[in-house]
Amino acid sequence: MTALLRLDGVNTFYGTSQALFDVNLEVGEGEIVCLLGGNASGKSTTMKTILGLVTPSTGTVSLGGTDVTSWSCGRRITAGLASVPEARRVFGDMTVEENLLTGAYVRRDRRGILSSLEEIYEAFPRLAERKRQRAGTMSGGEQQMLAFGRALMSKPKLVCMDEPTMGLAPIIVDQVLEMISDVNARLGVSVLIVEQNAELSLSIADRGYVLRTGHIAVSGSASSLLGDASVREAYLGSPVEVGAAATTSKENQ
Amino acid sequence: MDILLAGIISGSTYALIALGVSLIYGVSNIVNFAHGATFAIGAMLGWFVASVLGFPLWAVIIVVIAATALLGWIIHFIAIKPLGSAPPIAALLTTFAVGIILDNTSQRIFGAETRRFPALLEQGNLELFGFRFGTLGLVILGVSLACFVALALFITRTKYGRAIRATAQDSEAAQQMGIPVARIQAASFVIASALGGIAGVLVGMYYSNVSPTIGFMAGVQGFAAATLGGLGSLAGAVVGGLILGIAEAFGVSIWGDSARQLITFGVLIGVLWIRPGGILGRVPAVGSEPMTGTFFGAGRPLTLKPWQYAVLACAGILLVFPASDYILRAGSLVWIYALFALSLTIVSGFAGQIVLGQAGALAIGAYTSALLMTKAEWPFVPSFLAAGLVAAVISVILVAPTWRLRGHYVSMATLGTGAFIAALALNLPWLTNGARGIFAIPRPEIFGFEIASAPAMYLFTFAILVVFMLLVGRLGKSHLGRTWAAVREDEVAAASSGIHPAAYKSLAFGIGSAIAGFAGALYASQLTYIEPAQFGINLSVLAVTIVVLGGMRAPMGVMVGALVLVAVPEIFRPLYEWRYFFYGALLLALVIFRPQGLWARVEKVPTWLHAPLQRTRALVGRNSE
Repeated sequence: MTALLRLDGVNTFYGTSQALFDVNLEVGEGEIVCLLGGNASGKSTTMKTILGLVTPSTGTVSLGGTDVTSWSCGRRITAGLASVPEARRVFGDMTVEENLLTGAYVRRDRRGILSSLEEIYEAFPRLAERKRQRAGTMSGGEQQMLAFGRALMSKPKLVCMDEPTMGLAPIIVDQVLEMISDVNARLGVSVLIVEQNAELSLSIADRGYVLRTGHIAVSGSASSLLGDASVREAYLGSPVEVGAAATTSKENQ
Repeated sequence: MDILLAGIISGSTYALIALGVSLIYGVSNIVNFAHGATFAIGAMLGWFVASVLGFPLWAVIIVVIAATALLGWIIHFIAIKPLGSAPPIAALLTTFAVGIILDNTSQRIFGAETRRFPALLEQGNLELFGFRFGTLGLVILGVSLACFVALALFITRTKYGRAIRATAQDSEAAQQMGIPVARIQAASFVIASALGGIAGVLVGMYYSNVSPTIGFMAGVQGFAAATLGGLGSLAGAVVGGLILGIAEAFGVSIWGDSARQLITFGVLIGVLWIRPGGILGRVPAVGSEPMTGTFFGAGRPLTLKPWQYAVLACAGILLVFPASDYILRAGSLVWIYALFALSLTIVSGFAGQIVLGQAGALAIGAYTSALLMTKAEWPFVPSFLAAGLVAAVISVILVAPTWRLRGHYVSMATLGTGAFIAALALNLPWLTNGARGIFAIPRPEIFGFEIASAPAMYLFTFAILVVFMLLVGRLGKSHLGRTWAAVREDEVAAASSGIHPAAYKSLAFGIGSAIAGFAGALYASQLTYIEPAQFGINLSVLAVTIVVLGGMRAPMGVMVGALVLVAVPEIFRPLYEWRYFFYGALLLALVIFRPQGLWARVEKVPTWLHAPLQRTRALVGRNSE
């Protein structure tokens, strides 16, 4: 089976500094995958590389077996990728419904868009109640819900979520995670979650990767990572050598 | 009542212009300084199609919409797209340059003279609720209203309209929804320019006179209206346009037609002083302005060995012997313009503020010195010193409240003050002789020596320029210069080190304006005649182009810049008519290809080139392993 998303030997630079070192990563159909790591570990760069916001110097990104490394972000969205950006980034001055419709920008089927809209309202009744409300006036949890709904409007096969629990109250975090696994189960959409909050996000994930200073330090099934003491260390960025793949890079220390 | 109606009619055309300004600002965070030129081209093209080709009104409007829409796309393509991810402030200079190019091209094509716009409608009057409507006014109102409604529907009801709003609110998030942000920006230029073109035709019909030079004023009216309503807010643009139109109509009915400019500039400056966010805009909108100074950070002034400087200085002095009086008079003017541009080395180069109205300070200096010498019969030296002082004081006071703002707002405020000063010179005839200007300004006289001959004046201006260049160079390396550099590179970081950015920006502007004032005194004495028309926007452009060409932070650069920009067209007369076109084209090319100027060593690659270079390096590195 070809993976939905596949990163092969990706090296990404910002200016003179290398942010990603030979990153390999896969997301299969229907999977929830976690990408974990602390600050400056390269999580967001990996996300940007997947979305086509930065281009890797070497290595390939493929979607459903097609090499999309040189594709623009818009083309990747059309091909079935969707994004829930960091800090949600809903369009605050637009209504909930307008936000959702914007998520369907790449689609051309008017009727399909309207029925997707209905599906989203069914899945998230809270959004239906507030469809005429300005998105900026909603709470953080509701905005996260809207950002997720907006991403689903493009009928994606894979949704990439950048720190979906950031800045939310603990009780809301649980709700958001529940919402993710619920959508995954109901619609069969794969989800790639980039998170600092390792334990919570692994609790809903199938598999996980741990990034450390731009390298994939550990990877494996969610349960094995949860049980692995070294994951915690790697995630905290402690100097202890973790796993065979981990190499400490001098320039980032 | 009739005045109110006249105000609403002209206000609705301002609103059309302001809509374009606000739309582009909202979507791209760019103030399109070429917008006025687009308006003027719309007006001229409308005149051409209507009077030369004899098209009816509806056909005129369609042709103009098509042409200006295309023009908008071209502006985006040549002034915005090549900048890539360079800071939006670079676009300020490129659009400004494109505006100059368009204005001057239009003057070459259509001729600079004022044309009579044909009456495309039968005149009729009807009276309703005490308002007397002319058919013309009704059509203008109707067309404007149709444009507002069409734009509002497009923006709120269509997919592309939503994409435009989404891009305006958060372009990165919009991109991640698959919205092609660059194409949306191009579309906003197309729509905005078409609106500007329509406004051009309407204004042409309303005043029945058009000329290619109306663009600058219309552009400023558009900025003033958009700023008044709140930059980036479309509803604000309409409100701002109407308020400005009504205010002008009442002002003109009380103080006469020349008050129009004063009101526009006054509104622009006043809004930036009191409520820069405008009526409907949010004040913190200003905070989203990216850092200004880093754009020119790509180079470092060249330094020469002392003997090399000495050789250059000798070359400058020795020119006196072989050269004719004509060349020497031109040469004095070159050095005066260089001194004028040196004022921007401090403000723009050291402190990182893009000032677009420096001709204002030059005008204050020229008028101060000229008035003191002719009316009060002061000798040259005290007049010269007073010129610098007065220029500094007035400029600082007028622009002072703007320094808490950044980027575009500073540029717009200085553009407004510069034009305001020229308008004042025109509107205070008891002091300045109004449009007739001041004649018979005496030549400089120092310690009893009259500096009247061409060689003497040449050497005198050269000496003053060299002295100021040395002073400015020293200033750049001083503690103060480093403080300015800190403010320029990162205002927030500077502020958190205990520096008060507004005070230092103001100080830079004050010193710069003093230098411009000194240059103004020399200018008055060199030409012996001054009038308000000399101190227009073109002169401010010249100063900016000189420093950009020479190198923003290199005091030596102004010499190089002034030689190329003033001496060359002066010597090759065929170029003379095209010189402003040439300035615009050069400014555009420089900002895109060599932002660090000529007198600079490339220190590091511009930041927006890092990523592609790195990719190449990584590839090369891998292959060599």
